[in-house]
Amino acid sequence: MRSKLGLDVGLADSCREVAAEIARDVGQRTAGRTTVSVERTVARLLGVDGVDALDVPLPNVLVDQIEEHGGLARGLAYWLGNAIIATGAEPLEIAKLVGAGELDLHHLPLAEDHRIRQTIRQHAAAALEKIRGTRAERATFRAGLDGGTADAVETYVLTATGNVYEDVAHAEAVAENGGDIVAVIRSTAQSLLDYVPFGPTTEGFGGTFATQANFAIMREALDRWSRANGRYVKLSSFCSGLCMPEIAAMGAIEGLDNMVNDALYGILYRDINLRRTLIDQRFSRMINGYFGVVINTGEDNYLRTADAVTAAPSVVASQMINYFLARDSGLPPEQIGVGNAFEIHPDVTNGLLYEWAQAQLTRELFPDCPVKYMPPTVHMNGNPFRTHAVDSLFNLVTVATKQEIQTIGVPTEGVFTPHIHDRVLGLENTRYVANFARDLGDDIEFRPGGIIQTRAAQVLAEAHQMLLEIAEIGLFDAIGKGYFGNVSRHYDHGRGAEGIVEFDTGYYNPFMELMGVDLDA
Amino acid sequence: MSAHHLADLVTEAQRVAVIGLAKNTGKTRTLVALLAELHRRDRTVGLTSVGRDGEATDVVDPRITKPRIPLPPGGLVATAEPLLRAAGLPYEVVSRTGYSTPLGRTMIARLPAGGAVEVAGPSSNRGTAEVTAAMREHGADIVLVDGAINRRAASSPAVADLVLLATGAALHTEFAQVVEQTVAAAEVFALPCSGDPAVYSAAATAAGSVAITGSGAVVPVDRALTLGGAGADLSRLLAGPDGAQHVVLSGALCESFAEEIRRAARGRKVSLVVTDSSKVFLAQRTSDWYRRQNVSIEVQKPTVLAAVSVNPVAPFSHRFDSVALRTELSARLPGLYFCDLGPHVD
Amino acid sequence: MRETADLSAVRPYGDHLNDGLVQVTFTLPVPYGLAARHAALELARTMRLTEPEVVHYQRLCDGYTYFVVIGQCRQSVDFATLREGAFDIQYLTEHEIDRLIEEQIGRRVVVIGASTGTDTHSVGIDAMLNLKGLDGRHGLEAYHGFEVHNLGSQVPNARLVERAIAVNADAILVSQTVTQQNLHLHNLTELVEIAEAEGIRDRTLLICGGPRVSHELAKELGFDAGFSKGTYPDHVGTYIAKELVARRAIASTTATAG
Repeated sequence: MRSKLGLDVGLADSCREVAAEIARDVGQRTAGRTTVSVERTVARLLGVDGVDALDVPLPNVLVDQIEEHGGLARGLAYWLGNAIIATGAEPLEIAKLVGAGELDLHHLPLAEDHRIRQTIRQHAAAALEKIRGTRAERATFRAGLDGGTADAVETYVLTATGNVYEDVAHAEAVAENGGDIVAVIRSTAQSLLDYVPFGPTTEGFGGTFATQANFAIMREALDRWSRANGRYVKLSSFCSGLCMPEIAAMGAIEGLDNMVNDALYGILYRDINLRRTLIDQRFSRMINGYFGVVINTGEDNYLRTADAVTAAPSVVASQMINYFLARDSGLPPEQIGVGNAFEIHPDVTNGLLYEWAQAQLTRELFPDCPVKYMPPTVHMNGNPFRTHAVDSLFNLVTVATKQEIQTIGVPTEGVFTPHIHDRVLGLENTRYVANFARDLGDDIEFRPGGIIQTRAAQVLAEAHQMLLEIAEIGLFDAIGKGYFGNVSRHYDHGRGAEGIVEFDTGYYNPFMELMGVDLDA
Repeated sequence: MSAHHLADLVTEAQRVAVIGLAKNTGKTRTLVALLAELHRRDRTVGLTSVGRDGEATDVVDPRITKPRIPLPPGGLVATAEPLLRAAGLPYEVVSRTGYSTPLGRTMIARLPAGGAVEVAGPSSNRGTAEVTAAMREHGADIVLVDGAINRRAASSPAVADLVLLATGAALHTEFAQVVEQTVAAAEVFALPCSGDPAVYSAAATAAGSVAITGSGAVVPVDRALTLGGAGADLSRLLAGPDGAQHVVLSGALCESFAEEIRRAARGRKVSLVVTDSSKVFLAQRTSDWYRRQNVSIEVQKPTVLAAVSVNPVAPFSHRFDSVALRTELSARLPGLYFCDLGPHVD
Repeated sequence: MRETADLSAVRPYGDHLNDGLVQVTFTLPVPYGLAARHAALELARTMRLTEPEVVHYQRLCDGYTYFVVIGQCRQSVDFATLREGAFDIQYLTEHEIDRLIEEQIGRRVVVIGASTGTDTHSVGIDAMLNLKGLDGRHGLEAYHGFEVHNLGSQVPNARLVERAIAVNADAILVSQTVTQQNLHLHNLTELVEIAEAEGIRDRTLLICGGPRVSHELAKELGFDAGFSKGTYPDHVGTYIAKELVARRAIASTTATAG
């Protein structure tokens, strides 16, 4: 693809090299450690689900017991494998016995290590095979339906009613009006819970909990609609907060197609410990990658706390780092939706040109990625008519720069959680512009040395400079110095740090091994 | 005839606070019943509210219509001037106070013919004490201080001689939880007075909060510790054979401080002394629980809880059996008078 | 000649006085069709709109239809009395606020703010306090007249009061998303109660803000003022400056009288 922006190819390549190095350094600094949520994910992938009599999720019950005896450094798989040998029971039955107080994993005779590994590896392989089987059926189902045209923008629409059954009604309206991907916003506080709530949600605050039951209810409703209308509608959720990998596992099991997956959001805006969440992110992205789920990163969030004009280079730098962190977790480029947003203040003269430059820059820097574009939110002042007008320009830039996934703007942004018709009005605006200006991007050239080219070159140069600085001090210190979103977070501080566990020599996680094998093959 | 009993219970008091444990637990209804009964007994009433009361519909849930507050003829009221004008009733201005509220500046007025008024007096205790004294001076035999939502500041002995508590189904969807939360709140009102004279003399002389050690030394305790939240290091304060035995707090006792004290004391007996029960802010654990952990919470001035009104209905939600609720509460809190001022509609 | 409105009976204005024209948009959970259209008109009449007209309606999905309705509202409001009685304030500009503080108070006004309890949203408090402000209007940090401390989100109430005393704050600002669940209200009342317990209630302005905060709710909660949607930093700044000046005036008359 020829660069419309006349980008300095050498500079872009240098950005990639430096970002890859930063990502490698993160990998080294988080290696040799697991977390309580990674271990709970192992339990979930092995089929452990449900709650005990006190409503504590069974994966937590298992991990808590192992941790209490100081055994987590070996990994949950070790103890569960041993318990399978000792009791002959399946992981779920074992978890139930532990939850009922009838079994202590540490009071069982210990089998030999190699036997334990062999046993749990077989269970893990069978579990993966089962999930892959249902996902393959889903792929066949989807192939038989209209999946939209390959080069069209996919519209991504949120629902957030707090009641999963109302979310279904909203999702049907979204589907009916051409929406491609539905995402259920989570309740405000979920990212800070160190467990995944259980069961269907009918009363939520600011959204609906991501629970396995809610995933299943939404999935079933969308499949029903897809079957009846001959068009496949995708489902998305959020791998963020203290349970990133668990949600990835639940999404894999319940057939989700997309996931927001970004540790930086939790670090900066939920004050989650950065080492904890980067370890969680690695495993959760590994699961997303293995099961073909497209991830979206959250660079748009920086522009909510920093100015969109001046923070643009940090967005590019972060996209680069996030891309390589994802690659290191085994995600192929076509599953990495780097994030971007249309957040420049409407009063900025030529703001549209800067937005155009930024969107085109993202597109050109990540030619194989399904980049995800977010609508204006920060400066939307509650006047729905102005917001609708700004959204039209956002839609224009989206189509002209060929963003692949677009979260739609809604006129009541910043007023309340949008109502059912607000979503539909947003979709109509998107559809109108997408059709009315469909081939604009192919027909347009930018004047060499004009505002757009100059702006893109400047942002890339500053992003390069920033990446060099970050490589110098490491990502952790860069976050400490407030490089992203003007928010500063320290290496040791933040929530969930106590959930990090260093491996001992006997640590074993069969899924990392199995998913790794498959990736190499 | 419960309102009759209520009036009997308060008849000797000059300042009575009506406090709720949450919205929609029947505070206004209690107030209305009491006003009617006091009028029947020819008592001149003064009325103020630290929040706002007597409005037609609930400010949070507009589906809920609320009882109006009919002030008996000749009664006095402290409220925001625009609200009084909006009532359209004849009134005489007794005095204008300096207290401003989001609904306008407050004033004290006499309503010769009485009538339904919206009451919004000063929000603070100092303001409440001031208008209460002024209404007493201008002929009120008894002043009723209306609380708001779950606010308890007006139950302080500095403001009220006697407290009526309103509780009910609106607290929780589970019967047992309504009982537990009501019992916990009543226990706070009934916290014992400290028996150690050293506490009172230390409180009289100290500028802020202090700790009294085993040998009688008085050590200042910084606000950063008492209000600082979880993780405050109190081990030094409590360590050693001469560690603190009493902590005398000049202000609020927050749950995180109580919890840190408990942890640092490692089972040793410690008392936390507040000026009165309105300074105690517990949500996770009850005062009884702390007592069982050897951390006793005590007051310098007692609060007199006279009665508890029970509203068995949570509007647009659920209801419990009134008799069962009151029977259960009586069993848990013997000696306290419980009444239901129904009928209730939801 | 243009008629002037009767301020004791004001009606909505479209293009001539007292035409009462309003537009309403809503969705009904009914299938799209003539019956749905009829239902919308009926509903508009029960809203007491005369001559309602459905100018647009469309199917959203199975069982849901969206409407845009215009109609005439014959009801009126007594603006004259409202203006006289209500808590009203003439907003000042950034420059005017700074000048008022300099001339009447003579020192910087200390403001401390946080989003308290478990609320993770700091957007509201940031917009009021941080330099960047909201929609091109500076936050109070940019004013010469204010010294601002923003503690961010998820701050315990006790900690906020402790910091407020430490910096000798004139005003405490909290933002909270209020819902119908009483829990969120209790977090706001707890702040008022702790401020009272710590003895600073009378010398500190307590201000709350959030999407559903009204003056009425603020009063019930025990705050001195409440701000909702559509509030800009200069609105809050005006209130703080004017209220502090008014309180000083009252304090000095009381002192003279006493």
